[in-house]
Amino acid sequence: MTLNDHPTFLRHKLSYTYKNCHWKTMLSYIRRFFKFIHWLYLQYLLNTALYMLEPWERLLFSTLLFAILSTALYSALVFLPHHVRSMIQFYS
Amino acid sequence: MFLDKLMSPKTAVNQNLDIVMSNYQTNKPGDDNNRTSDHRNREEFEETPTWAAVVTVLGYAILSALGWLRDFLRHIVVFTRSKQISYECFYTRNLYTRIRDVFNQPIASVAGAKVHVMERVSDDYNWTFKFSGKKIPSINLGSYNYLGFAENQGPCSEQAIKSIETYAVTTCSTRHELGHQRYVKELESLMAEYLNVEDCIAFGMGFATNALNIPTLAGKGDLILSDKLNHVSLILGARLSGATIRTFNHNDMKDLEAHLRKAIISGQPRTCRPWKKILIIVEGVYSMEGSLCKLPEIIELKKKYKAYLYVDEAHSIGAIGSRGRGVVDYWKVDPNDIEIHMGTFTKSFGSAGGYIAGKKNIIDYIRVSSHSACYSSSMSAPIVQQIISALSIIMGRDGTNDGQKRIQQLACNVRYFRRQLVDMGFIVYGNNNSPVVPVMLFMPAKIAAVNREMLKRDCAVVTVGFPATLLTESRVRFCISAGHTKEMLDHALKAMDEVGHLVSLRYSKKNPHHRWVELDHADYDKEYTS
Repeated sequence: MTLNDHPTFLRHKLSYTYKNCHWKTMLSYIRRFFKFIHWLYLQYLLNTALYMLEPWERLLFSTLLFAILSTALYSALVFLPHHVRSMIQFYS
Repeated sequence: MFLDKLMSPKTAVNQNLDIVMSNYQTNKPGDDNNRTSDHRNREEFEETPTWAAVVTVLGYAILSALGWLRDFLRHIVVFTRSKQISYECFYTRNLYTRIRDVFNQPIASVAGAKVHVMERVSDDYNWTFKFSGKKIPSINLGSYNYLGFAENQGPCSEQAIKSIETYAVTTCSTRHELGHQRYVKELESLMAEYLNVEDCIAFGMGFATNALNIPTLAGKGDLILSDKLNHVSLILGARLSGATIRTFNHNDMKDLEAHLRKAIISGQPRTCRPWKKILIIVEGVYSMEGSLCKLPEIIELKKKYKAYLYVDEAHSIGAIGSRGRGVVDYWKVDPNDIEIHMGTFTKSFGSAGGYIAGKKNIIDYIRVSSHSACYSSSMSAPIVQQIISALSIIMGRDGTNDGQKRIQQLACNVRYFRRQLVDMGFIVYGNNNSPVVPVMLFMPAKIAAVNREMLKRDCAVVTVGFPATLLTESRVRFCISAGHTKEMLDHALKAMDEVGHLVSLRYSKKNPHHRWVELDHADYDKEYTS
């Protein structure tokens, strides 16, 4: 191989591997993210003892929990700014 | 405060332990060994983290609520799964049955260092099982095979088979009638020599040894002081005897002394007569905690208040002590100070049965008046021969130093395994030298999760929950054996590391959490085998 060929060959090889590992690490990051979500779901199941329950019981409890949490979140989002503003007005 | 009631009494003990230990150090000017402060008494019962206790209680609340819902639905609509509404208790129906597949798993080979676990599948959520036919070869971390004598090859089993040819399998009789065979006499004299006591008597079943012989030793008008965490056989024997039973907190010498003083000062409950005798019952190694009893302090208390001592060395004989002679050897006390030494042959000797040893006049009295000697059939020849062979190996009578090597291998394995687990950040209960290693789980769903995940990684472990332990203190209990090699322990540690990450078992606040990194061979040799 002549000296002129080397740099281009290397550059070509490097650019090929750079693109390749970029794509591969992206995929591995996505895979790791899904694994992390799965791990979080497993922690939820274990800590609330839903791991031992049947699917319909899991659905029932999760629905109830979601309903309560979403109601609390919604009422906080709607009513809190008004409450905070009136409190500030009252105390100032 | 509410959580303190749910947490074990050990948490109070843990806080008072330093006070007790310093107290005992200053109060004994005559004791030159100062035993309680040295490394042999290092016991760890790390406190339950509050968030873990809260989440555990919440988990049980969710399970109970859904259990009530299911019972209500069973009442109005009969489920196809449970055909009739059974009258078993609520816990069994709703909590135990859901994870029943991790308990009572059948095995298909010798339960040595490795065991074949039969795989079961269930279509209806553990109400019925079917064998899939597959056998999972796994590392056995659940058998009490401390010295590795549970094998079907080798000198012990050969001699046991030969003894069947000489003596046949059974005598078909009780000890008092025609069952007093030559081999039982040989076993009893060998065991008495092993324990350095005057005489010994052997029985066919370890549980029955406790349950049927405590009634011969104690009766109405006696006081039995037993540890809160004693085994069911001791509790059953104490109840059958008819004596008054009082329990003291686990390994709490101040509490024991307070009970002794109160008993001697006030006497029997209604008549205030003095007690005929006071019997203190403790165990050598507690199998659910992994803790050792504090024998020197108990002996001192016993001598001061003139009580009698009964030590149940079921898990400690053969496994603890530099020569394998149990807690007596570990603490280096005089065996004549303890009135009754009791133990079983099931754990370290790879056989079945129990023994009681002590002074000759006590043993002669037990020979004559024990229920077990009078009504249960005498021990069988191959079982006794297995014990005799195991004993000769441990004592070095067969000419090799195989026994001493096994004891050292067990001690090395125990220290390695415990140290690696503690370094990883798990909460491990008990003494650093006990071969029983309980790792805390706390939450009920983790009992099933840990067992299944470990079996997927080829490790067969025992996970326990209520009623063997307190409701909020479920644990996985490893039993280390001399038959485990370093590779097997490394495999188990790697599996535990992965499972610990998956199930998030790293609760310890005292030790930092690490992932497991294998120790290279030079470091291992330097630290553990020298």
